[in-house]
Amino acid sequence: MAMDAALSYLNVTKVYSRSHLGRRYDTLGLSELTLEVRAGEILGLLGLNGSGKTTSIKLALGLLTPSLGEVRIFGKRPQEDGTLKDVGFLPELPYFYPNLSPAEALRFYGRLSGLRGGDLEKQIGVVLERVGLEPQRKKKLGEFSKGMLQKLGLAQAVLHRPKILFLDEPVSGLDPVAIRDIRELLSQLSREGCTLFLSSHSISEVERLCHRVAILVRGRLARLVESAEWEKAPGRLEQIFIETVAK
Amino acid sequence: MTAWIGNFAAAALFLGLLGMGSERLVFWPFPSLDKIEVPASEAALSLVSLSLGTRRIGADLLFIRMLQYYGTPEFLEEKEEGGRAGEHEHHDADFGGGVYAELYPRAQRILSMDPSFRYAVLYAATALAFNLGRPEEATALLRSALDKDPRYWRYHYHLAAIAYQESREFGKLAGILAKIVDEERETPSMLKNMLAALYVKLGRLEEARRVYEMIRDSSQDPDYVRLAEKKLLLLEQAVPSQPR
Amino acid sequence: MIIWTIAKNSWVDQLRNRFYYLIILFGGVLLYVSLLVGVLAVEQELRVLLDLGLALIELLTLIAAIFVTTTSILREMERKTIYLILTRPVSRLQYLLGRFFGLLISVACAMALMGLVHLSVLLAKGWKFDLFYPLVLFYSLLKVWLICSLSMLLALYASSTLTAMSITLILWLLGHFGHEIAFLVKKSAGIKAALLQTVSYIMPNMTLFNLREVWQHPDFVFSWSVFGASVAYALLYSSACLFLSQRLFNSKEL
Repeated sequence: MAMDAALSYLNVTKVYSRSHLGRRYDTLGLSELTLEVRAGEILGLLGLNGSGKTTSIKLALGLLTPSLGEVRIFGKRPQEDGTLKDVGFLPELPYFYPNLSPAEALRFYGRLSGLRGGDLEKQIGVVLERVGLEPQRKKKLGEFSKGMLQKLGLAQAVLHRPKILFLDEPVSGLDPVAIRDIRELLSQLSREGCTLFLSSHSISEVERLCHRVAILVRGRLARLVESAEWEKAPGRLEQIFIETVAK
Repeated sequence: MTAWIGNFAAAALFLGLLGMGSERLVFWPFPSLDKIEVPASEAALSLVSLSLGTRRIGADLLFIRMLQYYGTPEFLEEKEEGGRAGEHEHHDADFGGGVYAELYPRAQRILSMDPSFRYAVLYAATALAFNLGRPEEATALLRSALDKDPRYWRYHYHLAAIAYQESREFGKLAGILAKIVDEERETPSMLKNMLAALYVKLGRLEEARRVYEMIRDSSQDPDYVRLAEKKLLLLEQAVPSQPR
Repeated sequence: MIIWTIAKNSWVDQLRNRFYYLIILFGGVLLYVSLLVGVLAVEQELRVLLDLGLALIELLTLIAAIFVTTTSILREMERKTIYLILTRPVSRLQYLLGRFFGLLISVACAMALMGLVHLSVLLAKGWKFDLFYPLVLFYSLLKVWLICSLSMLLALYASSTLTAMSITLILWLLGHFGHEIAFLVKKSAGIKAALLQTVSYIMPNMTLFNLREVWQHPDFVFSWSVFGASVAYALLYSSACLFLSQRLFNSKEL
């Protein structure tokens, strides 16, 4: 494992087990994944539905436990004390408590991440401004549109200045303007030194943002592609992706 | 799997030990289920109030039903079928006469749900002994109540009052009822009214007036308040009160 | 600090929940309706108002508490709001305890509000305030506390809101039948008696917290040691349930 690895998957396998009427049913989520994400890098995860993208992210966040192997964030397991304070997460279609305002929601999440007092209030203002939600500061989240919720999702993910950010379908269902805003924000974060690990169906967005792309097929890492490679390819990343999943 | 079984078994053992210890902490003055005899029509109410941990409300609702039963005029057929109207000295013929055969069993049911419902016992015993001429049922009711609440002195005095009633020693009866009756809400207005009527019968009109005034000023039963006002008016006409 | 943050969030979320206000409003309405029932009792109106009011407060807060406990965590897992919490430096135990205490705070507030309404009715009717009244409400709160910990455990075990609510209600009802089960044990023998006895010990002893049924009994004597033991029972019982809940929750894949 490289010293500057922000995220490492070390031969990780995840099997989902289910019991029904005394019989056990196993489903392979991820198989022998070995992958490193360098600090400061933007790595994209591409794959068809059910290929293991969300499983990979959940394993890194400690929401799931590997059946085999281990995941490390900056050299520590996710369940260890202090690991998650450097982690931000934007889930697919984030859902918030409808009766809270964005400031109240961020205050709640900020406190859980260890922020307090003046620093917390300042950060809330900063991130709301950054994602363009400052005018809706006092509105109830139940009245927010999908795009606004996605922006708030990003706000809560970056509130505590994480060193690594996990994003699951960050531009899913957004209009082009919102997609551009989020792309710019993510690029800015990367320039500030944040490591980004994002999973997406949007090949064009992944192309524009990522330094590298990992393609998962049926739970296995089928291919790891550098940006230089897909820039040279005739059909760019889309062609590489289709060829990889077709094999 | 083994770990799970272990966890649950340990928890069950812990809870079981807690449960054993908690038994000793419970103050539970209520009779057991087998002592509660209710007809089918009231079984649902009793069971619901037991299972919700609301025995007192069960007793309250049975008490309200008893009041409604006793407060409903009887038809002649019921008088003939249900029981007997006793031959007794009814001190206030205006109020409370009849058969009301179910009064005693209803009162017993209230007692079995809540043995500390003293008012209900006194009310039913008064009606049975002095209005309906069934002193043996009143006595049985009071004795059941004393089994569970032996220190309540009003029950003892009430038994004595019934005995004086039976032996027609009305002077002594008035004396003992005067001890039971006071402004406390535990004493039914029916009993106070009976005492006042007895005083009138004995010619002790000033004492009768005092009791009727007590009923008028402190009773929550509007019927008895109206009755007391009517009686006070009659007393005033018969014997004008002295200025205080 | 983390547990308090989650508890406060839970409480604030409940306070803004329409269902919460509906329960309190419904309770207030029922308490005033109980005035009608009280009138039927004539000279025992105060007794009926007292009994009915205290029971209504307990039953309504219990129903609300069971509903919220069984639905909140499962709903958070379904909607994935839980992800935004557990992907922070928050342990699953802290999360569970935070949700549990938040719920208890909102239940206690609802109980206090309804208690105030009830008291206003009683005092208006000439009732003399008894210092035991708040204690009776506190005992009801202990009952709700205990049942909530059970319903949380059942919700995590069953993963179905309806199953958890039904079993919780059944256990709550059975908890009032401790003496009746003891009677059945005396009438039984052998394995049947042993099983019944074991079940009766493991089930929550609801009669321990039924102060509203016995506080006006002439033989009732308040004892600080019994009070302390009752509180300890509630704490220990709910701790056991929370312990099992934590084990279940830790093993859940989110």
